[in-house]
Amino acid sequence: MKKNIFILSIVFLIPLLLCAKEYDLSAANSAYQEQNYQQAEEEYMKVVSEGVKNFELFYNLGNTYFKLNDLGNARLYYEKAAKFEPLNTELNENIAMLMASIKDKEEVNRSFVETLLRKIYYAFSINLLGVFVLFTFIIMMVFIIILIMSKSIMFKRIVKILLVVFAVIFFMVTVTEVMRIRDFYADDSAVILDETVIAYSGPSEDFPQVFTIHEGLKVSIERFDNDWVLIKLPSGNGGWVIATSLGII
Amino acid sequence: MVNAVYFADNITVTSYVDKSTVSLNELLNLTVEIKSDEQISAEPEIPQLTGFQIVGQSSSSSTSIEIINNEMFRSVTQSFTYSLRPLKTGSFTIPPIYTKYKNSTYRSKTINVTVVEENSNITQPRQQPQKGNDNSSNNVQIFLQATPNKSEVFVGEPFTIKYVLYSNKGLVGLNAEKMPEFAGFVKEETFQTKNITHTLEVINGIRYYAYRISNYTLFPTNANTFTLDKMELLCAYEVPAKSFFDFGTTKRVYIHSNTTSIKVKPLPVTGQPINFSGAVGKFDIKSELSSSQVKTGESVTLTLTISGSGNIRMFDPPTLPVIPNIDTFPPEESDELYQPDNISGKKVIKYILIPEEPGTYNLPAISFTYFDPGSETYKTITTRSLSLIVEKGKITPGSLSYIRPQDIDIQGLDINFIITKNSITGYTLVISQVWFWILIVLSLLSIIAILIIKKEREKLLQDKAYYRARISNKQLQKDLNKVQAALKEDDISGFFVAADNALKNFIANKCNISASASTIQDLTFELQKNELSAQEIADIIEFLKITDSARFGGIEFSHEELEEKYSELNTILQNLSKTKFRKKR
Repeated sequence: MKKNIFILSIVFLIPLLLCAKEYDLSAANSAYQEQNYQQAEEEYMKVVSEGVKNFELFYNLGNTYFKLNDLGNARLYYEKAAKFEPLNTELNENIAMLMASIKDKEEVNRSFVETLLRKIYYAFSINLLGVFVLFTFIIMMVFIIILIMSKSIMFKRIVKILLVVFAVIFFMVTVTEVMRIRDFYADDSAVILDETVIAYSGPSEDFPQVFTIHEGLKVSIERFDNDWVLIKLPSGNGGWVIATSLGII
Repeated sequence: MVNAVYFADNITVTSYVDKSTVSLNELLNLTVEIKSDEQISAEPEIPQLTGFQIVGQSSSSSTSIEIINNEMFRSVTQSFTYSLRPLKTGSFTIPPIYTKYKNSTYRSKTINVTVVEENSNITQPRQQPQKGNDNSSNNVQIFLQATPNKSEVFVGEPFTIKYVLYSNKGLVGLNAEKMPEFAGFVKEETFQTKNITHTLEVINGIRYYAYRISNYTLFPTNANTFTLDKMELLCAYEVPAKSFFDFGTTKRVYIHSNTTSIKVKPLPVTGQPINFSGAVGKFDIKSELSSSQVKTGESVTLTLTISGSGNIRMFDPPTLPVIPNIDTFPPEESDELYQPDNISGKKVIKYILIPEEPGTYNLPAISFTYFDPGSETYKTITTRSLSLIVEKGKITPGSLSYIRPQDIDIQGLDINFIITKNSITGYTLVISQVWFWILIVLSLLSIIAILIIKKEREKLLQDKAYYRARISNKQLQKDLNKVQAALKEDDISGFFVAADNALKNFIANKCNISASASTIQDLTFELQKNELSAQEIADIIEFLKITDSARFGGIEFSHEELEEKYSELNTILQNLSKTKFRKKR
């Protein structure tokens, strides 16, 4: 009985534990609403510099940079926001509008199956998946306890089937959660911030030029070498650029 | 004739001779024509003519009625013809001839006449038809005059060109051989002769029959210097009989118009407004609403009138600015051009507006830009803005605004607005929280706990001895409570029964034998199996014997003695509980 009370109190404590420090965006939001984008950017950046990671913050900051016509930073913060909510409609509409304004053409052609898988993969947030992991685990444990304690063979059989089902769900949810967390913390993509960036075949300007890209383009990062980064274009072409010319998502 | 005073305003006096060169053996006819609206009594005053002698005089009068544009023009011409005989050769000037009527004096122009020696050939007309107008030798002068009213125009600026055939002989036939095409222009024929009619005109003192052939209004479409196409006519005139046997012949000549060229200048590029529609000329704009108050779904007509002179047919009407919630239809456009040259006129554009929402609308001013060739600048004229009051009308199925669903008016695209959530929290992963792992560990521990509990229970179920050993202390506590209760009440027999039970139960539980069925001998036997000293066993036996006898014997015990027995029991029990018993399975 005492143990039950303890578990219940922990469950009710979860929301309290989730209450982290709050940050105020009202000054930045009202500056944006007054179309004072310069000030809005400063206010949002104040919060960003405190190390806050938040969807609304990144999305609003992306919008502010878009309005300031800084397409590189706009794309960077939109992509940062997309890490939180990759399927957010408003965000994706804004990214599509931004991609129409940047110089380099990027084609995103997803097949029906890819789109469907993406939708399933990103259907729940990382934290909701975490809660699913926890609950399916607890349910599995409860089923195991029932199996241990129960004497009815019929009842045991039903519980065994349910246990298998939940084990499968637990496995899928856990794998998805692990992959999503790995994606979330991966530093493997970046956005070009400089207006024009020349890529070389090696980590120095002495190497031959391989391609020229422009601000706002999303590239993937292969590896670092001092101040130079080996990037890869969506087309598969690779080249070395100066690390300061891009922002890591 | 009293009225003549009031109507005889348009009096013209013309004098002409029948030929400009006359030989000494010929007579020169000098005619003075007095043309007026009404019959008047006036006679020219012939001055003294040097070199000529008046040998005869005749007069005639004719009335002509002309209908132009449904208006009747009546004119009366009185001709006074004087036959003059030249007196000597040389150049002479017939001075102006004055005519007095009422209080005004009218004068004709001077005429130059050359008198030459007698030459019989001059009067002989040539036998062959001739081309061109060099018929002076046989005294037949025919020429076709093309007269544009401007020699330099801008692209789009209209001008007129008139073709008049002049002849000093009456023509009996006229045939158009080639009409001008005017490449590079949009042409409008504003007049074309249908029958041979003529007016009389005097050029350089010679009277000509003037035949108006055609009038054109031309609108240049591109800049260049154009030499206008020539018009070619075939004219026929009669050569009168010279003798009794000569019946006279009809002669035909081809006549070309003179060469005219027009310079068309391009419109200036500098200062050309974006909404310039191509209008060139001088215009005025006016807008009008058919009614200033309507109900929703009803239509109202906005009439825009552009009037003036210029290329009215050749420009596009100004576009109506988009008025939110007012539906417009493509405008209906009509042009009206005024006679005689079709240059001035008006363009009437009717926009049908259907307001869809009630309210007061300000119809924006419509501006129109044209090029003024006079000042060579672009001018923009604007209508005044009009207001329209729209009341809510009945929308019935079938009314115009009801049945037409329309596309949403998209004014522009912008990014989605920011999320106006003023308080945010930093991102924390659920799986990095302590409680997450606490719950995982707890649920794992609960499995282990359950397993342990289950094992315990199984042990208990299988091992009664173990159970009894475990419960012996509980039993003992219960039994000792009974003993204590009896001690308090000084119940001697109760005390010994309880003490006996307590000791026997304790030993029975420890040794896993039945307590009720055990005699002192049984107990001694069991106790001897375990590691107990002989003294201890002897003490237990002694104690049991006392209790047995006290239970039944009725021996009196004082309270102190009972307490002594109780402590004796406790000592025995303490000793027993320290001892390890072998478990009997």
